[in-house]
Amino acid sequence: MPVIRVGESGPRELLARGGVEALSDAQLIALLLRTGASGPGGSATALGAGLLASHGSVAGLDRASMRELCGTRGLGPAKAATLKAALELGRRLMSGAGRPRTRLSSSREVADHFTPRLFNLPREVFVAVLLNARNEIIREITVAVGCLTGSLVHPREVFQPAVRDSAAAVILVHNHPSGDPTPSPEDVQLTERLVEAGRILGIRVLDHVVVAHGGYASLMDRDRKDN
Amino acid sequence: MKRDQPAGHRKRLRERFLRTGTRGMADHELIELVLTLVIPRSDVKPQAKTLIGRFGNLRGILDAPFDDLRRISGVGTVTPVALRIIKEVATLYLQQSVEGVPLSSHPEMFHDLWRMRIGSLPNEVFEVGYLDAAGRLVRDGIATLEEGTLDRTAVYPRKVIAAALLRGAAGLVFAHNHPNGDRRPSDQDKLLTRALVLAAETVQIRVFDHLIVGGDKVFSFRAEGLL
Repeated sequence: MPVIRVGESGPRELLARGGVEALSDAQLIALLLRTGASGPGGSATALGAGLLASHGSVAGLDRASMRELCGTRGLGPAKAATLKAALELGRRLMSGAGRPRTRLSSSREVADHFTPRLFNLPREVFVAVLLNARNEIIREITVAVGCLTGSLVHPREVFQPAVRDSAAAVILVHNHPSGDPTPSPEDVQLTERLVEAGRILGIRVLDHVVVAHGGYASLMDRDRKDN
Repeated sequence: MKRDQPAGHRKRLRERFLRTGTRGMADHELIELVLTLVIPRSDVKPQAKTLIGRFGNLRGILDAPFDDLRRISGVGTVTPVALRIIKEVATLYLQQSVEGVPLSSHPEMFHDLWRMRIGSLPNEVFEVGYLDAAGRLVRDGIATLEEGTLDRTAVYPRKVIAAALLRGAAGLVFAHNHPNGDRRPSDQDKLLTRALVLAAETVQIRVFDHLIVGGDKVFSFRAEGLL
């Protein structure tokens, strides 16, 4: 079978000049498959364009079975497998470590993130959010549930997971079922305790936000200080 | 009178041990008994006497540095290992006896344990015992946090508390040794203890005691009212 070379202005040269983002979907497929169908007009890019046309889009190509892919002229089991592998890599990237993490850089962002989940609960729920050095969420931990008087939230339960996950910082969030987000004296006291514990452990307590039906309140007043 | 064959002598020594235990046996006889298990056939009384002469008593032999034991002629390479095994097994026996015992009701058991663990070390070692809320040593709950030089060990409250959180400890007991044999706390020891107590308090971990082993004496911060 004659090998149809990707020409001077083919996708490989385009990639070298303008980066991978400059390539069309058909050209990306051409790079993966390297060769098209035999005969005139059988370039790799033409094969890519044909595949996209018959399956609608990259998503359609992703949905196609191996058998459906192999039905295309110029595409045997080896090329079909290459295509499948590339699409799977993309999927893993999206679902795994490469997915952008949620960043919480202000009290408002914390409130926006947690209010929908917490404001309407009948009981108080206390959540510790573990963050990395870029203020991105590593993990959320429900530390306590019930009628909180502050004494129910044990500093150990906040900081044990934080130490285990090597968190750089934590943000504390809880709800007031009454609807009034105004922090209670116990909230203030608890915050002071947790900030002090964080200082000892080298894990900053960035914020403590109370969310409720009637809005939110920050015990650290971070919106005013930091932004 | 016909001189004892070693085999007959060994047999009588063992029978006497089984009848009376360690009572009524001299230290050199006990060492001889151990050596019969390690060194085949020959008369081992001379080595036993040399060891006693060099290290004073049974305890001195068990505490002796490995390399010092190996240099005693006729002792061989296995005997130092056997003696080490005896010491370590006895220490572990002591530790397992202390597990589950509240420190406040049996402080002397903790003192004995740490005298045995670190009392004879040539360099300063800082250890921690992880306790539950009732002050009982948890299973396998002793860790060497720092090993220092002759008279100085760097202990960082942050590391100590982080380790305690990872172990899920509710209480702590600290122990370190003074290789110079003086169990009295230095100003530095007092400052460190204060810092550790304060750091532990922020995460509601209770420090039950800090022991300093100097030779075969133990100083207890709690007993002296320094906690």
